[in-house]
Amino acid sequence: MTLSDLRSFLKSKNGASLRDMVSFFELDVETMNAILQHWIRKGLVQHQRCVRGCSGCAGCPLSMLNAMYYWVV
Amino acid sequence: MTHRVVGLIGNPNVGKSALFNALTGGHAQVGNWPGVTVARQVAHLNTHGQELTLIDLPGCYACCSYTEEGALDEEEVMRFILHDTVDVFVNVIDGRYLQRHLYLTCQLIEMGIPMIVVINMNDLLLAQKIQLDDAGLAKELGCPVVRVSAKYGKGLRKLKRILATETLSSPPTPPVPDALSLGHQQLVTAMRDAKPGTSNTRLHWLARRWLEGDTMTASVFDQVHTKKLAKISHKIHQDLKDSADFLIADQRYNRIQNLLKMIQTVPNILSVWTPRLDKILLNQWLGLPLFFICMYCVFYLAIHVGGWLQVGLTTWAEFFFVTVPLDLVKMLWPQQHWLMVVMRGVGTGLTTTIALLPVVMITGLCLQILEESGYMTRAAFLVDRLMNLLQLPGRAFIAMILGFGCNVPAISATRTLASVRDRIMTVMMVPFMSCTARLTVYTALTSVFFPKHGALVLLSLYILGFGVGLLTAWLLRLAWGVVDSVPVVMEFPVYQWPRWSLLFKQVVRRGTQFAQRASKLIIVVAVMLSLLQLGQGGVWLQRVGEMMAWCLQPIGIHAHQWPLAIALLSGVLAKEVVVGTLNTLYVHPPAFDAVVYHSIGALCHKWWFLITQMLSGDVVQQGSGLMHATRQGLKAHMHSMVAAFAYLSFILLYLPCVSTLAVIARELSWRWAAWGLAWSTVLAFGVSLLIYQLGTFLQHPLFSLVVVLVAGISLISISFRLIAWVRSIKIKEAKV
Repeated sequence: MTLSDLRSFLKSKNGASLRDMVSFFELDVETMNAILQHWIRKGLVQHQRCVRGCSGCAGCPLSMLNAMYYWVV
Repeated sequence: MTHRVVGLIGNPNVGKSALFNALTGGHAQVGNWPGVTVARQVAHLNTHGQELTLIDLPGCYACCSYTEEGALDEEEVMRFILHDTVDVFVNVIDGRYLQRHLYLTCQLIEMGIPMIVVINMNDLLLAQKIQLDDAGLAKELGCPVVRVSAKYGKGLRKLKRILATETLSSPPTPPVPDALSLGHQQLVTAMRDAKPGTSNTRLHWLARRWLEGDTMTASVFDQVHTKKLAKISHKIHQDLKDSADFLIADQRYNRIQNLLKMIQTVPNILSVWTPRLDKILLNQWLGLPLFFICMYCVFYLAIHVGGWLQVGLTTWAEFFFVTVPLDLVKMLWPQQHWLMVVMRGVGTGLTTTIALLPVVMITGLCLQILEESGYMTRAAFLVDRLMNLLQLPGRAFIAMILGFGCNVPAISATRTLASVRDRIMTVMMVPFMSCTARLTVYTALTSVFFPKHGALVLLSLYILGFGVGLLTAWLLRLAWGVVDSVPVVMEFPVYQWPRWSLLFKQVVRRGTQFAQRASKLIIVVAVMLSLLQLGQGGVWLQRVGEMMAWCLQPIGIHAHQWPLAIALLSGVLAKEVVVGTLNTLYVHPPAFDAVVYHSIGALCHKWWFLITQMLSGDVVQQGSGLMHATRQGLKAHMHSMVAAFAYLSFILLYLPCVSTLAVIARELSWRWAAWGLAWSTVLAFGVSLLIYQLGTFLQHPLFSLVVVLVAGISLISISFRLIAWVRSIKIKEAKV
C-alpha cells in the first residue's frame, strides 16, 4: 500500500474506521497508523475517537480499531 | 587491528537492545514494548581481529522530524544521524512487520552509508510460517541480509563475521522522484557552496531531507546559508502539484510494496490461540478483573513461596553473618566494643539483603513470564483504557509499568512522550507505582501483621498507588485544561511460551543487581545506626524518633514505635533500607558483658548446638526478611492492623527515594522535583491519616470525625494551591 492508495481510499469514502482500513489493505494496525500519521500530520486526515452507537472508547476493548478517519479536503 | 563504528538502528521494539546485549555481553535493559532504550549506549567488541564500537540507538519509526518539538529519544537519533559518523549501520527489523520497518531501511539507504539489514526474531517468523526470500531482499536493497534470534543468540556468528571481515560498500541510492530532480540539484549546488568539501552522497542526502521538510537538517548549516536554502526550497515547492514530502514518502512506499510482492509470502492464519485468548483476556468486563487476579497470584507466590525460602535463608544468614562473627570478636577482642557494633551492623545488613532476595526474584520471575508471554502488552492496553476515561496520555502506561520494577528508568522512559505536559504528568505519576524496593518492605511487614491475607494487602497497595498516580495526573490535567490526546495504536504480540533458560538467567541477573545495590545502602545504614546506638547516641536517636513519631500520631504511630519513624527517615535513601533499619533498631545491641567464650573449642560446641537446632527446625523463623527480634518488637508495638496498613500506605506514597528525586530533577527541573516532593508528602500524610482514622472510627468517633474533616479540607485546599502553582509555571521553564 502507498500513500496515494490510502488517499484514494479515504477520498472515496465518507470516513473509514481503522478496522476497515486494516482489513482492506491487509496490514497490521501499527503499520496502518504509521502511514495514516503522514496525512494526519499534514492536516489532511482527521480522526475521531468515538463511534456513535458504540458504548464508548474506554468501554470497548478494541476502541482504537473503531476510531474513524476522515479526509478533510 | 582496525576499528569500525557500528550503529544499531531500527523501529522501536524490534530487539535492538537484545541484539546489542547478545553481541557485546552487555546488560542494557530490554522489554517487550517500545521505548525501552531512551539514550544511546556504547560498547566495544573484538571479533575476528577487528575492533568494533557498537552504538545502540533508541528506536525510531523514521529518521525525519517534521516538528520543532519531538520526543527526546527520536531527537537523539536525528542528532546522531546528522552529526555523528558511523562506518556501518546495522538496521534491525522484525520480519513480521516488513511494510512498516522497511520504511526506515529505505531512508537509511538514501544516506549512502554501508549497511547490514538484520532480520531479528527469526524464531517468531518461522513459528508464524512467514516465508522471506533473503537473497532477493539483499539483491534488491544492495546490502547483506542476516537472520538472527538475538533472544536465543542464534545467527550472531554470521553477523559478527560480516561486521568484522567483509568489505561493505554503500547500497545504491535511488534517484529522487522526477518532479523533484531539478529542484534537488539546485539544493545540492547551494549546499556545496555552504559546505565545501562535503561528499556528493551526503549532499544529495541532505538535499533530499531538506525537500522533505526535515526541521533538523538546518542545524548542519549556518544562518546565512539556511536562509538561502529556504528561499530555493520555497520556490521549488511553489511549482509542485503535490508536496515534496508526499512525493518522496510515496516513492519509498512504492518501493516497499514492490519489494514485498517479490520476497514475502504470508500464510492466512497467523495464530489460532491468540485471538481465542484475546477474546477472554481483553473482554470488556473480564479484562481488568482477570488482570487483578493475575497480579494477586503473583503476590501470593511471592509471599508464600518467597516466604518459605526466606525461612531458611534468614536463620542461616543470621547465624553466619551475625552470631559467628560476633562470637569471634567477643573472644578475640573483648574490649573493642566499636568493632562489635560494626560487625553487628554489617551482619544485620547482609542478613536483611539475603532474606529479601527470594521475594524480589520470584516477583521478577513471574512478571518476566507475563511479559515474555505477551500478556503484559495487553495488560498495558487494559490500563490504557482506564487512562482514556480520565483523558490522560495513553503512552504513559509504558512508564508506569516500568515503574513497578524501578521508578528511575521509568522516569527516563518518559522521554518517548512528545508533549512536554504529558511528560511532566507521567513523571509525576511514576513515583506512586510500587517499585521492587517497596515490595520488599510490604512483604516483610505484611508477614507480621497480615499473615493470612498478605497477597490481598499487597494488591490493594499496588492499586492504591496506581489510583493516586491517576489522581495526580488528573489534577494536573485540570490545571492545564483538557487536551485531546491521540489514541495509542499498538500491535499485540502473538502469545508465546517463555524460554526458561533465558528467564532463569534474567532473574539471577536481576537478583544479583538488587543484592549489589541494596546491600551497600542497607549495610551502611545498619552500621551507622549501630554506631549511633553506642553510649548517649542511642538516647538521642530515640528522642529524634519519638519526636517524629509524635508528628505521625494521627496515622497511628506512637512514641514507643520510634524505630518505625526512624525507618521512614532512612527509607528516603532507598525504600529497601526500611527493613534493614528495623532489623538494626529492634535487635538489641550486643550485650558486651554477656557470656564470652574463651576458647575456640567452646565456641564450636555452641555453634554445633545451634546448627543442630536449626537443622531439626527448633529455631524456625517465619519468612519475611525481618529477624526474629524485629518481628517480636513489631508485634508488641503495633497495636492494630489498621495502623499497620496506614503505615504501609505512608511508605508507598511518601517521598520518593533520592535517586528518583535526582532523576526527576534531571528529566524536568529541581522545581518539579520539589513539587513532587511536596505533593507526595501531603498525599502520604493525608491518605494514611484517612485510612487510620476511618479504620478506628468506632473507637473514638468524635475525635476521628474532627481529624478527618480537618485533614480532608486541608488536603483539598493544599491540592488547589499546588494546582494554582502549576498553572502559574510557564512550561518552557522546565528543562525538557
